Amino acid sequence: MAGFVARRLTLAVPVLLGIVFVTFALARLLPGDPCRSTLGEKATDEVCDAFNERYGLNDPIPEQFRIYLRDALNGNLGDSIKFGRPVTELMVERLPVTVELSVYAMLFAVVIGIPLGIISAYYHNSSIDVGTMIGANIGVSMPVFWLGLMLSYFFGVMLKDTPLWLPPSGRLTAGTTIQPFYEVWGLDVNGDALTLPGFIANINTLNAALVGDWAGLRDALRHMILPAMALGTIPLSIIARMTRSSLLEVLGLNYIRTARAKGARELVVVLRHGLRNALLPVVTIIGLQLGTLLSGAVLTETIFGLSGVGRILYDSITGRDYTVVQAFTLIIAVIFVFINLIVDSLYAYLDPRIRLE
Amino acid sequence: MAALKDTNRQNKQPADDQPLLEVTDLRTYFFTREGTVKAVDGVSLTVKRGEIRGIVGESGCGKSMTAMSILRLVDKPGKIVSGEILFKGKNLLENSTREMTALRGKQISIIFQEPKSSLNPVLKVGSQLLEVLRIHQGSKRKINRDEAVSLLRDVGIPDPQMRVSNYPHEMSGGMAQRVMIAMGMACEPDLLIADEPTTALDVTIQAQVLDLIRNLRDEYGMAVMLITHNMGIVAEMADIVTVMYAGTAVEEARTDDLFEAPLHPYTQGLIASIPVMGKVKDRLEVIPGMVPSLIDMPPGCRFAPRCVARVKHQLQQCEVEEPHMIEAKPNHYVRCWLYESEES
Amino acid sequence: MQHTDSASPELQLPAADTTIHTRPPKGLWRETLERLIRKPSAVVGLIILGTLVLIAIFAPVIATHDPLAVLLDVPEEGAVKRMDPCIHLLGCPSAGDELVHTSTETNIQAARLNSTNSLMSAADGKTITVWKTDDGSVLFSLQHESPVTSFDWSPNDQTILAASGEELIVWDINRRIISRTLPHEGGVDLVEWNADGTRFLTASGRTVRIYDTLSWTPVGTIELENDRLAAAWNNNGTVVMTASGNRVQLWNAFVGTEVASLDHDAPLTSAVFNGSTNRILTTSGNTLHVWNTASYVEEIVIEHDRDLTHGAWSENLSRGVENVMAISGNTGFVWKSKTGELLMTLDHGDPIQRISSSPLATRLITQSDTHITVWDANNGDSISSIELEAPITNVAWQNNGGGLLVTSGRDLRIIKTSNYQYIMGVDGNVRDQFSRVIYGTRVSLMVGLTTVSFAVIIGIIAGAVAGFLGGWVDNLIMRIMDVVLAFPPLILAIAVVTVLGPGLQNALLAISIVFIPAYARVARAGVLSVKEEDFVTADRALGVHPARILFRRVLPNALAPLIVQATLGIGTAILDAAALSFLGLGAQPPMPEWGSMLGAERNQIFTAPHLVFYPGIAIMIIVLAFNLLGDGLRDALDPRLDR
Repeated sequence: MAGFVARRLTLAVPVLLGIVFVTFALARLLPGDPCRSTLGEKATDEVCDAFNERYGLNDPIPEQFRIYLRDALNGNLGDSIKFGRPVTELMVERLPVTVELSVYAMLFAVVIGIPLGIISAYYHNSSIDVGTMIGANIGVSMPVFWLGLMLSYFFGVMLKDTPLWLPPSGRLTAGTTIQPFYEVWGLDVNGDALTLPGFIANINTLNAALVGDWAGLRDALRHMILPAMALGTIPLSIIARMTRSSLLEVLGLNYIRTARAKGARELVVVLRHGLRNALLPVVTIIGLQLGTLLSGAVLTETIFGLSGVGRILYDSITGRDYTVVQAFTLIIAVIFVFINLIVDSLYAYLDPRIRLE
Repeated sequence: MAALKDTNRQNKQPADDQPLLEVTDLRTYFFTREGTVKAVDGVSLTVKRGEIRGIVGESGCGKSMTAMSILRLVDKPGKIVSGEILFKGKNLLENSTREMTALRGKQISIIFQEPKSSLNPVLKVGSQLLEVLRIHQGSKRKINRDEAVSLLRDVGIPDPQMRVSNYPHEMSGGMAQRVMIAMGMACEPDLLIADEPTTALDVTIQAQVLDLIRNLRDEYGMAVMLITHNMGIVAEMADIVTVMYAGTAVEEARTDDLFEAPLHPYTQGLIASIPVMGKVKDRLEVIPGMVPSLIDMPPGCRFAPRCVARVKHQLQQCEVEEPHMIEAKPNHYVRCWLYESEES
Repeated sequence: MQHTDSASPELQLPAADTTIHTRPPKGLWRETLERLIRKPSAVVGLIILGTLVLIAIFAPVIATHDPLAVLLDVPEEGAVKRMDPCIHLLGCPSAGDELVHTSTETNIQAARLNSTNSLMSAADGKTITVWKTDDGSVLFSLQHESPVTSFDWSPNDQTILAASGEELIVWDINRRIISRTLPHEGGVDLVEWNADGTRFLTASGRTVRIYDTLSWTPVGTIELENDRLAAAWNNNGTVVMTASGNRVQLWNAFVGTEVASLDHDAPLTSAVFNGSTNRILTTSGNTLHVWNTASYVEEIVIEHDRDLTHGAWSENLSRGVENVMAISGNTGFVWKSKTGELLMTLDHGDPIQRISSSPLATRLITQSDTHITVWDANNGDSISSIELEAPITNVAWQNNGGGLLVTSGRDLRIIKTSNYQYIMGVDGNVRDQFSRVIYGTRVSLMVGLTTVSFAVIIGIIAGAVAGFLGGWVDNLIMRIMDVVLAFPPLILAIAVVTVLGPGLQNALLAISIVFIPAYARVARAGVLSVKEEDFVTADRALGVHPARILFRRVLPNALAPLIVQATLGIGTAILDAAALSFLGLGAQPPMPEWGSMLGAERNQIFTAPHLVFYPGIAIMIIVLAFNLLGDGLRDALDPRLDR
């Protein structure tokens, strides 16, 4: 198992290098002069020279890349030109939002998608099955941004003044604050909320649960429902379809017949013998969907007014804040690569046939 | 081998008055888009306690489907449309689903053609083996791992201690089939259905597996329903044989009688097609033509289009009306106009 | 069994049997098609797609309007905001339905809309209340010491001028405080701002005063000989028109001296400026006069057999509509102002008190005591009839003519004046959304097909070369593909578009680039699977050029999975292109692209959800169609999965 992971890690190295190169190149290719787009059109040449000197923009490109690579390996991703703060600080602030959103979206997709797929396969060709599959087909075809808008309209406007009303934007109701858990616990974070505690504290629901602020938790969760639903619907549909077709395929295999011949009850046959095998391709799909999720996060965050990675990425691209673009694209791609690695390892764990190869 | 066979015959228990399994006019049809496939179309047979009943026929003649019908494991779009399956005097077709699951693996168990794919690839063989016991005896007592080891030892798997924690893909085909047999024998059933148990295996392994089945039969006294397309296996193993063709039984007799004097032209063709050691033939006998489509069955005898005897004897009846199963000789039944017309 | 070809023996067969395998035999395609049309989902997909293609081709015929044109002539739906946002096909208010309904405590004396129509206001007793036109919620109310007789919004909506008792109150709307109080002799009947808010006039009895907002003092006072019938500003605020007795007078607005006097034979019953205030319509006795305000000559006199009252203009110069209207008893009449030709006779039923045209002359209303009839200004058809309980006190048009502010008794309503609904409403720029959605089909189909074709071509070349040549070329190409795949697709597309610059073409290029690896992988796998087949080896042995082998032998065999992947890819490409446009990086306005339509109107989601609903549904349908077809194709080409 360890060997498997190690091999996968080695394979990921060239890809990671490629990612670093692409992000570096992308940022240099961004049209417009970073100096003048930051300091304004009237910035003098002298000011711009100083600016370029400060951000290393005067060095030859290979040298810039070398420095960039070295700094990236040291965890120094540069300072945001727009915000004038280290990008790592922005990450601690923004990444948790996207992570929280993605986790809830995936949770929504998995918790509903897999049972739906199982039910569909179990009652194959029944009206439940047909209905679920029509729903899943529609779900896959829906634009995330449209679904988000319609959900916020439905829950935020049409259900106004009912108990089902949900806040259509933001992370917390205005005026609500949840104290960071490290303050409550009296942890010393050396004054900077830059590190892991800061990251965790920015995951509102987790932080609220840690400090036991149940009202805050409820509020944070309520704000999370609509974005998670909007973002999770496509993965949900794909997972439901995949679970169904995979389970149907597995249920036609010989060992299912064996299990039935053993005298196992149908439910046991489907769940114990069918599902575990059927979930193997589903795990892969879940991993692949995380990419879709991160793409969708840009749109979802825009619609629901969440200031996460997607939002800052979009803002920085349009604002030519190239260090931020570089750093966040890099971190997303790296996360993506590692998630796929984890999924591969999980697959190997679930399927003993792969483990030994 | 021959010696073993003889002792085997001697040890045979006296036949019970009531047969263990009595299948009457079983019909299993598949309702597909292309039409109704009559996979099993009027099969009747009996299995007595302790005997090995061979069922032989070409691929797709409905042998396996007969077995699956007995266990009521026919998948959609298949359906048992009529007939009666009396097991210990009780009609299985009238059983509830719950009664059937309680019966499967405990009183009737089955082993399949492809042992490796018949085992769940993600579960250790030990746990799959114990699952049978857990299902049927789990409520009464605690099941532990040692039982799996002893079951594996019983079916002659070397180093069973280690093998219980193997995954199916780590085993050879013969080994896997032994595991399947162990699984089938775990609850000491009254009837073991072996559906082409050796087809996917090497010849040497085949003999070992067949020996194992026979020994277990001798030891536990269960009945075996041996389904195969191989006449040699039948000749060696079975006490009594049913020959099936296109979804129906065409001949039934004691093994010796059948091989000595096959009555049905199809059986004659099958036996003639066995290469016999020492005899040099210019070419092997081949039954001409193909098995008819199970959707568009010929109106008369199903074998009529391929029947050499029909041409030789110039029978007209064959293509008009289906012949009936008649007792042409004592305890030797056949479905052919050749004999029916003689009688009438 | 396989040699059942019906080919005649003389047929010249190819020398080597290799060519037989180069592409799937004809029978396979037919079989695939047959399997495809047996799948209900694929059939649905094909039908939807066929319909969409037809819609795209015949878009100009189907669309009711030019998708880019701003609907100046028929602006009924121009107001996107309303009390109950509606999705049109599910039922929306039609003519005569109340969009907003509020009440005051006592009877309303005066009511006004502000200049942007976003606020409505009414005076009852000593209070002026201001509501939002969107949802009828109260914004604020202004309290006075005496009953308010008249009030008016300044043209920039910053000030409300109210006449209360013997005082003029000037309210600062931003701070909601009284900015000044002006004494006024006698009660005021009417206050009215001029067009640029630099002066206003007040009328009390026979006196009209002109005020300057720099000095806040009367700059001129006009004393009329008879009872005042009308007092109005011209557009550039230089002239005040009054009507009394037999005479219409024009006054210099700076000093209040008479400029001209237009005399009539009989007492006047009405006098109104037209929209550009270069003409005046008057009625007196049984005649209707149109005067030119520059030359003070009578342009036309229309004679009727009975007395005419309540003259009004109905004009839209951009369409060349310049009509005049007047009432006679129960009937309203519309004439062409240039020729005097009688265009329409509007039979109201009760004695009419007012006839009025929407600002763009698309609707007319006639109003009696408690009853309003809405007419189509083009053909005189009656559109709707509105019956109220209490006598109607005020009627005012919304700028776009979509709604009518009506006060009666204590009630204040905005009533919709059109039962003709644009099928999908009108967007924020007053363009017909239905036509835009229809034309959007073209864009989306084009987007899907071009991106995927481009990606497939590049992908096939890359994948085929990699698979066919192997070695370091394969390694290099596939590692590059891995890097591209390592980015979440949309984020990479956004980054690429940023480098290339926003715009539909660049968005398409970006999406194509993102999709290349998927096709490259499929192509490579296909090539690898057939590369070792005998017929390829044979060709190699015969010395056939590798490129020829690749394109004639290998690729056709890898085609099936590519077709499936491409069909499914079109849906994703359309979704991603729409997402880019939604973010403003793809198609640029005013192009009718669904994603950018959605993006442009997304802030209207709470007030006009239909503007978001329809483009989204359209995207969903087209993507669904491609997905269904792709799924069907996959099942048809791979019968193993057929179930």
